[in-house]
Amino acid sequence: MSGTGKEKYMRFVLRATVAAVAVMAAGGAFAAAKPAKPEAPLASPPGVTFQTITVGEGVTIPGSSSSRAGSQEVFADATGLTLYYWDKDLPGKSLCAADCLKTWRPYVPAADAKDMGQWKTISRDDGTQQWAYNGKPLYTNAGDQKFGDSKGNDAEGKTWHAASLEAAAGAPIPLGISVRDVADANGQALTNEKGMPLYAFSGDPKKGAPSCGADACLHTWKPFAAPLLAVAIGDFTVINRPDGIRQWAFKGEPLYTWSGDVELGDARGRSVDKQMSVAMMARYYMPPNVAVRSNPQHGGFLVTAEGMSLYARDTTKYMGLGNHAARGGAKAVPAVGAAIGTTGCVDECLKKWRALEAPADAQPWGNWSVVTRPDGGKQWAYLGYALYTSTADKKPGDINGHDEYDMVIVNEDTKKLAPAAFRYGLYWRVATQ
Amino acid sequence: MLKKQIGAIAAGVLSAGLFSQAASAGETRGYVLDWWGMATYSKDIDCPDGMNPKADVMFRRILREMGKTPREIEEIYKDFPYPIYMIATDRGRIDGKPTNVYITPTSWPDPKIKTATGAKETYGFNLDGNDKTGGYTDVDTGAKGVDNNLYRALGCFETQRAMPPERPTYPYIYWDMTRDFTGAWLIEVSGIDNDQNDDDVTVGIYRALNPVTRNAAGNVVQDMSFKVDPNPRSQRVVKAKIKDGRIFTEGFDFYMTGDPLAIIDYELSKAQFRLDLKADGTMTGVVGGYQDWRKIYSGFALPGVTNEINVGVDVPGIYYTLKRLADADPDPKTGENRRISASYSMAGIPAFIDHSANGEKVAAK
Repeated sequence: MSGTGKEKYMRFVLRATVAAVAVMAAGGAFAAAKPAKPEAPLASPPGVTFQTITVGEGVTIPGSSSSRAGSQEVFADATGLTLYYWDKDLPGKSLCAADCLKTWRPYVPAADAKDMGQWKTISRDDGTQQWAYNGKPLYTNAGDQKFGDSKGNDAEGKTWHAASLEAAAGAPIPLGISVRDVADANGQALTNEKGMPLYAFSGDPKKGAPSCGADACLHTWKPFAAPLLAVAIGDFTVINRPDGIRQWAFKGEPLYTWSGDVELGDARGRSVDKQMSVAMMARYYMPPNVAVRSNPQHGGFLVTAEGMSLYARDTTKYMGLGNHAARGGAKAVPAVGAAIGTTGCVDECLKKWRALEAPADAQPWGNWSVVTRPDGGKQWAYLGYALYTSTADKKPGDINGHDEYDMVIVNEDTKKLAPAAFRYGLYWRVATQ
Repeated sequence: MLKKQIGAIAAGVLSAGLFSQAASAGETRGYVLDWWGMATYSKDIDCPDGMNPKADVMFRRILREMGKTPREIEEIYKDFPYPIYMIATDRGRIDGKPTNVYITPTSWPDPKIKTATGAKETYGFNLDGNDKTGGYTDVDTGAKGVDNNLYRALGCFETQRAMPPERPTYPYIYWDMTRDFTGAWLIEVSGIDNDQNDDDVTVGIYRALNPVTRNAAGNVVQDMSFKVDPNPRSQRVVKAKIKDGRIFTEGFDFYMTGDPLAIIDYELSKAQFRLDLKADGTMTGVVGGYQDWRKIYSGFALPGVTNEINVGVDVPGIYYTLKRLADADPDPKTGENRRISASYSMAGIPAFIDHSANGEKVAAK
């Protein structure tokens, strides 16, 4: 090596600059050549919501004072009425006519409705339009009066069924991979046999591996291995890696798990590397001013676009197994949320809790509904519960309003009974997925 | 890459405050509570009028007062206690209509439960500074005028009684049941220069983000790490002194989130803590203060009939008794006291307390 120290330094700077330019050029070319990755389709179009219905019959265990039937999440119209499909219909063609229409009402799309993913508008014989999901025409049942009703489910010799989300309908999926809700990702995603999400790597695997991020190197990406005899199926292919591992790929992108995901609903690897994204099959609608964050205590929870935590006011339940505000505790009951509505926080309460405002033209969509405040303003509700921010939170990430109780179960004014939803007191909980 | 990883870990350690605590003067000891419940020192003399009856006897009286005939009562008792679940809740009457007696206890006449009027010793504090009120002597310190009307109200129910080291049945059950689902409760004593006499130590009381870990026997595991919940409501720090090996805090307003299964939260005004740090590394303590009696009542009312049958308590009777024995915080309008003096016992085992969550990042979308 010859030259002065200054010359050496200049050569170093030159080499470094050339290398940096080359890398940037390669990256730029790569970026230009790679089109933006399309988002997974929304699970439902505007005006179609999710509701929970009861299925099966409860069983009373001797010694118990209650019974509990199963439940199922189904599609519903904007007012919450369950949507059904009929086994006798043809794909994309309704055969329900004449007397059938006295009980079953074709679900008519809005005039400006557009096809969306698995949702298509079809023309009926009388020229009217009807929504179809995965080719199945949808109906409401004349006997259903309110959300949660499901008189049509299994009706007429079990030929009618409540329609529910089937994000992977018709798509072949290899053994060992499932499609399930991933709360942190606000939708349904590919998961491994433990229910942990699979991430797709959009970078070039020949040029590098996904990064573990500056703050998270205690966790790692692990290639999602395919069996030795695995063959390509549908959107899934198998990559033979240089290290000998056969790795599943989805739509050409190699799949990984993130070691930081440990509980169902986790997708904590989603912010580690921009080239890694949860392999989504369907997204749930989210208002534009709302996002999802997660932490180990609560799992996925809702925040405003500014990152401020969102809360719901719920009724207190007697839980034999302890704190119902903890992760994995009692689920939200939309009927209770709807009963509380905006009356759960009025007057003085609104000085401490601020309503999550919705635009005047907001409409129910997915798990979201719109409630009207006494002053006429619109407010977003999630899973039936009107949402608020707390003035106790000073910065994004604060969750200081959680577990705040107004639970004094004593009504001493015998002439004035509290509404049923309020009788066991109310408490605030962070709005979880 | 390795340097970056080491740097990240070092930054994490620093932000956890581990170094800063070591740098402060004096020793710091951390504990996770493995017991918290109403302080009891139950003796036979406590209940000169006798004990309150157990559920099977109590409900015979209640059914009679509901107007059931002896024959109807015997029919109900053929399958006791199951029919009671359907009958007892709406035994209240307002304008002749059945009413939920737990929500509206005044819809049922005062059953005048027996109270621990004979109890003379307890664990607690002379909260009002008056030796002539309260009526108890503290077992540990010999202090007179100790205030603990909560035990006076509940101390004649069998499931609320115990002589240490035994623990009262029902408080122990609900403490145990909620441990796996709610953040652990932590106590940190810092600034200890002399563990026998020190005029300037600090006691921190915190709720953790994570619950306790148990071993195969169901006992809380010691030396585990707990991350402090950054919610300011879950953190109290108070000055204290060590006198003859025992720590006494200043008076302060204590708050700790509880659980609806028992008491939703412990909000004690004029609270005092007393802690004994044991040579084996464990800790025992006593907390006293004035508590909203309606919140205590709510802890009995929410489980309602389940509580009456399984725990053998008369819920409306507890309502009337707590109201009658409330001894602090008079309502400016009615003059009725809104708080009742209460003492709680606690025990802790060594734990590492991590304050890093105060600056914890959460994963962004």
